[in-house]
Amino acid sequence: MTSRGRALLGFGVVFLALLALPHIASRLDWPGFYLTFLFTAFFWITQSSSWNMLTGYSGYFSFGQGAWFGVGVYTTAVLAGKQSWGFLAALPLAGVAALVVGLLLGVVVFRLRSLGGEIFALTTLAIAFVLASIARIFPEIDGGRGSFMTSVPLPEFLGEFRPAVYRMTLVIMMLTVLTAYLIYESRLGWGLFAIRDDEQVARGLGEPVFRYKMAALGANAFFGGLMGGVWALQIGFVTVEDVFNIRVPLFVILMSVLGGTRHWMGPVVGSVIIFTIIDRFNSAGFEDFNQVFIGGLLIVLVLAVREGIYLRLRERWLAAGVIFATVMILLTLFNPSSMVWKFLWALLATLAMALVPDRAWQRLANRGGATTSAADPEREKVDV
Amino acid sequence: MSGALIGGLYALMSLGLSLSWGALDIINLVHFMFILFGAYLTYQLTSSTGIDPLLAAVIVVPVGFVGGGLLQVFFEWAGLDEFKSLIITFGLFIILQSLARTIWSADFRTLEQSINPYVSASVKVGGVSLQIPLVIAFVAATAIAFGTRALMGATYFGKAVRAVVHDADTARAFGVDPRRVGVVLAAIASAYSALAGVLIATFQALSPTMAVGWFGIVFPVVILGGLGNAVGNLLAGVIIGVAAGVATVVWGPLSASLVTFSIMVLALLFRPEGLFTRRATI
Amino acid sequence: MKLLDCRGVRKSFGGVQALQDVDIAVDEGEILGLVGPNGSGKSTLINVLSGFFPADAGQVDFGGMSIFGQEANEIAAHGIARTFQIPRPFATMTARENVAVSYMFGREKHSLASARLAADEWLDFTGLAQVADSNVDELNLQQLKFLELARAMATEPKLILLDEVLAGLNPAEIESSVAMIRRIHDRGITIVIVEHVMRVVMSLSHRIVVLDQGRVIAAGQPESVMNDEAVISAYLGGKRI
Repeated sequence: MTSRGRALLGFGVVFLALLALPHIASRLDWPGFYLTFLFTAFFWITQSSSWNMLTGYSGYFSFGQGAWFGVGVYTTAVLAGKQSWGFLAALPLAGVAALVVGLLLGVVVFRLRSLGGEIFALTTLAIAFVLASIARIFPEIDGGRGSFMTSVPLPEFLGEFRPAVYRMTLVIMMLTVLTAYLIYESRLGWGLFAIRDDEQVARGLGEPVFRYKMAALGANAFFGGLMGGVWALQIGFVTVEDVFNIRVPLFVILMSVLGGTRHWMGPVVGSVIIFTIIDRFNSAGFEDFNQVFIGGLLIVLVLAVREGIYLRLRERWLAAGVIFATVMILLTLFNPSSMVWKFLWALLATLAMALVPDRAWQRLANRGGATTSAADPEREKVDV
Repeated sequence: MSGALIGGLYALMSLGLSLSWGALDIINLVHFMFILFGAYLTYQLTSSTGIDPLLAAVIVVPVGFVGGGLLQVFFEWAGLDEFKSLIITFGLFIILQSLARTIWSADFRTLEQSINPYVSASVKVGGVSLQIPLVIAFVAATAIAFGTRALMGATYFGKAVRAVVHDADTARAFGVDPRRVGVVLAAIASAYSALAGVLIATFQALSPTMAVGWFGIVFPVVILGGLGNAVGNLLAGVIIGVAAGVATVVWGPLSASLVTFSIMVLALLFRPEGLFTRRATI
Repeated sequence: MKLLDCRGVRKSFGGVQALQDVDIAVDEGEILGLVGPNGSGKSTLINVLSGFFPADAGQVDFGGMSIFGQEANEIAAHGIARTFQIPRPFATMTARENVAVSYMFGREKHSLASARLAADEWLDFTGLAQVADSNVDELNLQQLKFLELARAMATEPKLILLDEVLAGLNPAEIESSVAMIRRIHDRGITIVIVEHVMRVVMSLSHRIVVLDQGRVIAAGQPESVMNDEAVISAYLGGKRI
């Protein structure tokens, strides 16, 4: 089986397993919180993966994830909440609306000959702010008083509310990560990475640079908006401050940088880790520290972890698996606290292992007698 | 009219970013924090010691100068690419904003009238009443804009900066150390931002998240004025100030940022190098 | 038959007129040498021809079709490739990946799957097969320059613009580079070579064009051009040191 075949099979298996989860959950009588935890994780995986398809692959830094998210949220809030469209009819439009806004931005900025990257970063930083103003000004959209989504009915076949949200976020997440994977293994993906390395040279070689950037931006905006639509549904009450703040853009940057921006799995891994940490922080009451912690973490990561930990984890997969399993088992035996706490500690332990610098690792591995990895850990060998 | 005056302040707020972006090729988001902390420090000094807020500049501006220089030293030492530098300035932005909120709380802080003689003082010029803080800001901004142009044009330092921007390797061959030039330039730019902060403290209510509101002002000014173009920046500031003022009067305060953003988009579409820069494409 | 035909090309930066009324024609299958003192506009001309800068005025025809004002990627699709004086490989990719990316996007678009084999072919041609899997930061200057050539070749061009490809090489490396250029030419590719190393230009070129201060001051057979008075004074400095 080709490697692509294997990957697609993997996607299929994961999807089915996760899809079955709500049924298992109700059999085993798990607290509803687990589903919430999972679909929030799916939310972040989607936002980070879609962000990474543009910024990680092409190097065009976007602060605008909040903008796509916000457009998606408000499109849904207006169509389904205020205008009484069916939710499933409104949802795709959430993605499309964000796509349109994103492409408009791209048309203005991507054709600039010089400073394109920096000006793009700058406009994405400003655009969320401007969209927030628009939402506040026009009462048809929000008018500053918030919008209610609680009375939006869901079609029968989706079942109860929480599992329905879970399934929708699951589907969107799978689509997003699948797209990230497919792009990564395609000409578009290579083209984007070439742009990241040296856009001028890539253009000189004949690459349709503008089209490729637009494609990446389009994917980014579309999935960001689509997931925003579902978020609007599950949050119930939408306010401008809640939607257009620094949280979404900040977190996606942090998650992708931690996991690694040069690979499609990077944001997935990073999202899971960061989200678990944040979730436990919040439940322990540390909300205020969030931002300082995150800002600091971001800086430390950028300085210390060159290419993200996903590649490291793949390198040291045996150790990763062993450590993760060991911690989970130990905690279950000695302190059967909530699943999420166990998960967190296992993740942190694995993370700590991943952060051990290469030289120290080689020495440890040598002493243990295990064969050292001959491959350069920073390089990603892709089957061209 | 006050739109034109506040444009001077806008220009001063933007000049630091414009200079450092033009010379160092990175959008340093920390500049917004230099402005914010400049304002908060002025507030603090004035509230605690009762000195004239403008005098506080004597302390605040050098702090900004040193801060900016140190930051640049750090950047030079870390030797990061643009991608990572942008992340770092963003991270610092977030941290400093949180820090401001922790120290001074999320409530609005204003200087009491008893210690701030400027807040409601105004002067009548030709039948129009002008707020003094804005007048001061405008005069300061103009002086600095032209002073900077003179600095860049006439002094050795200015020439060194331009040489480094144009071709760092050749500049090095002529004995100019790009790193040192970069540090000094960053320090000057941060000092400008800190000064803008001082002026803001004299008449505005401070809140930790106000920096986000500045995005819709500073970025259009920087784009419109042209990177590193001090006088262009001043003129752009006035234009944006007037535009924002008019928009506020005609459509309400929320529309101001929409208008300024639209101006920026138009500039990007038709004259990305700025209204006042001669068309030199390299 | 004229492959590339420029007439009246002009380009200025700010107040500096880098190219004024440049007329150059390149015949199919020839090697054209482009020489001139420093600052004469040679690199600017290369940049304009390959689409990296837009010319201000003039006409540029390639294979009979106008390419004036086109983007660099459109020009590459027509079949013009260029190398950079200071090599600019894709820094995070291996040598093979560099060439493969080039092959994917060149004159004809090729699939990802076919790019690997094709890349190996060009790496073989330029003698880089040994370092195919190496990161570009492990390659020396000569190898990087040959990688530039391999990348240019992989776009299957009809015309290659070589921008000071010999700069920084020692005599032995220059010899092997010249041999490589001849091999490229033997494949039927037209070459414009910008160079300072005069003996190489003289021996390689069928014709030479001399630029000075943005103008063409001489064009023709190497011997007669280099004996032209205007050319000699331009180099020896009537006007510049």
